[in-house]
Amino acid sequence: MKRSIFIKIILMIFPIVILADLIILGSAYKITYDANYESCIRNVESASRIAADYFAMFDPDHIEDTAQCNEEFDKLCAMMDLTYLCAVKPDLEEKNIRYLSIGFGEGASEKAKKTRYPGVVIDVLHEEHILAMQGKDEGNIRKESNQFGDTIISYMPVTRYYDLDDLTFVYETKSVVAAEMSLSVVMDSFRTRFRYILIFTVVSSVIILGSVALIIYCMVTRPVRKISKRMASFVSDRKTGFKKLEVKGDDELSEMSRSFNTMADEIDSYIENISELNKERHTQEAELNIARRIQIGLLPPAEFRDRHVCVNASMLPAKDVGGDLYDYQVLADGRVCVAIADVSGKGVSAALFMARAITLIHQYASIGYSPSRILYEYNNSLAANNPNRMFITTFVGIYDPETREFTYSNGGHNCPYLLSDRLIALDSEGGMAAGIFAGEEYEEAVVSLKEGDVLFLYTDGVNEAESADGDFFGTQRLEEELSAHIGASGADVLTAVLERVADFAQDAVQSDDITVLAMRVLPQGMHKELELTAQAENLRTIFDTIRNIPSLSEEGKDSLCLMAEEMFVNICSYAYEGKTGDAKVIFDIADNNAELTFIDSGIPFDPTKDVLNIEDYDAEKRVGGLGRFLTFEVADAYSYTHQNGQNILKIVKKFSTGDE
Amino acid sequence: MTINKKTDGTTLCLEVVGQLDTLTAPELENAVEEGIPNCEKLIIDMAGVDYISSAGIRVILQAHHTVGGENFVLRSLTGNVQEIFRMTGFGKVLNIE
Repeated sequence: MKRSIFIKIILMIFPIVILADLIILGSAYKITYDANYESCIRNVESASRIAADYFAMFDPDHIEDTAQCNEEFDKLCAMMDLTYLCAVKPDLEEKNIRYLSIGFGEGASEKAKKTRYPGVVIDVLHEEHILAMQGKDEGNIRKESNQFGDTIISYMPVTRYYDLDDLTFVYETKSVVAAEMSLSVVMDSFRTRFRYILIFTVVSSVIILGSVALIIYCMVTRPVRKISKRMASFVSDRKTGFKKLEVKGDDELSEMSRSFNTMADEIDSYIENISELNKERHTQEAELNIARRIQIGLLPPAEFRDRHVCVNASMLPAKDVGGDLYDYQVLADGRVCVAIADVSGKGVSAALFMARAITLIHQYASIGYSPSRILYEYNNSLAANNPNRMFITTFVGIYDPETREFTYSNGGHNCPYLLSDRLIALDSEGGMAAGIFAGEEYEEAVVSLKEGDVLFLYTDGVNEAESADGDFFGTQRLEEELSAHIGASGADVLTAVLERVADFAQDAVQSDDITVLAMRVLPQGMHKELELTAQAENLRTIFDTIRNIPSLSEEGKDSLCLMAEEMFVNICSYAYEGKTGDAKVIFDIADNNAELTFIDSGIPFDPTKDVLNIEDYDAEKRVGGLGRFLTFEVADAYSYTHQNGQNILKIVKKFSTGDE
Repeated sequence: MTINKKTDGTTLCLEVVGQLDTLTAPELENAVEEGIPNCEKLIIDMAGVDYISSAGIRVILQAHHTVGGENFVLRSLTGNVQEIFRMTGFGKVLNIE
């Protein structure tokens, strides 16, 4: 059980009560003991006084009837709770006393009864005897611890005696009366009485303590526990409707309940406010998400490929919507237009401006304008309606696959790079960023591309990417990464750059949109026709042709050689039945697809029919057909026709390319 | 294509280097025919061959047939050549090291 404050208070009060009890009992004991003692002394003194008055009836020197006196003393002993009562005649000179009369009470020892009797002389003279003889009749008390226990003895002078001769009282102190009272007897009764006091005190203490406990429990503990229970279940109760705490009276607890009720009300209203704000934020976020999707939808797909080029692009907005854009399109005449741009600023305003810009670039390019004309018209259009004076840096270029020339114009944008035999920055002079000043003329430049070249366009989100330490990524790192990826596919170049940037920035917040675009000039297909005499030696020409196709891997070349050899040798061996004839071999090599066509004017023969079942092959008999078997195993497709007296066989082999 | 002949007792080893096609296969065929009468065991080392066509396969199968299964060994096939033998299923029959 946890130590409740109730238990703690009780544990603290308990020793205080015990201590108070002890003090009360101690002082009560002392006071009552002293009082008792005093009354004992008073009793024994008055007893001795009565006895002395009585003994005045006798003459100490001539006592005839001691028995009567003894009897009287016995009565007095019983009446006054004395141990014994005696009259003695002290002899100051001999320092002894002579017992004249003695009475015993309850508690007197047998030994005393035997040794003390009238007439016996005992050699003990106390100071009190002497004082009594001198007339001290008050407070002449002696305390003694003897064989009778603790006793007090009162000595009283008998100040007169009855002279039997004269039959008158003679005022002369001749004897002393001593009355002894046992303290133990008296104190025993006192202790018995005191035990009752003790029991009463303890019982009353317990009752007081219990009452205090009950009061604390009812007044403090129970209400506090009730309040705390309510507080604890505040949240769960809130759903079913929180019941306010009762406020009774005007003490601190009711003040606390009132405060709690106020707090609960305030929390309630705060929670309502917050959930409303949350709802609003969710709506806003959802709307921004839609905006982002719409914006990304404005951009062409991240990957595009036609016969001539392969384009890869990526845009990572810093906020939900960004101000960067990239665009590409194949124009009606087969040329490819690429563009990249960066609106000043970020967020919704930049995104709206970007939406306008991308539409303009796309439209002007599709009309067939040159890059400089595109920028000129685009700048004028943007500048015409731009109340917020936003501007946009733009790079536009058009690649012509016929001439392999890339014509470009730069409106204040970062210089793109060309990854050819080496890294080249396309840093020809351009013009200013678009959107502010209408009428700006833009310069144009031309660069020749070759197969495998990659154009890399980017926005300043790349070189201005910040690390956690506040360093910029910079163009040097970018150039290093690009140089290291000369010859790689566009996708690989983008991945490498973006990974390097991410690696550099680590967990730093992206401060600007990061947009990159790579356009690779694809290795072009090959078309070649060989007119050969159908003789095996001409295989060398075929082999040489195949081995010199640049876009094929060694493995691909091996496959083509095998098919070409087998089919050509077949023609040489069988088509012209020993005579010489012609054979034509046509190569159509595309990026990932090779087509071989064999044409001869020999006897009609369909090599695709009755292809050898390899299980039946017999090396000894040198049965033919192994070559055809291999060819059609390696080929992905084949077809045979006989037209105009010619056997025409087409074989297709597909390859995976490095761009995939 | 070149062929290096190495004799170790009754074992003849032919190391072929180059392309084993219709034009070059007869050379190997001649070398095998010359060698067989003087040896018990024939090894053709193909480590230097990266291209083989049906003409080359025929020569090898012929040699295998003539020398006899256990005494004919085809050694060190390169990836491409191995693929052709797998395709034809002859890889299972021949003694390939």
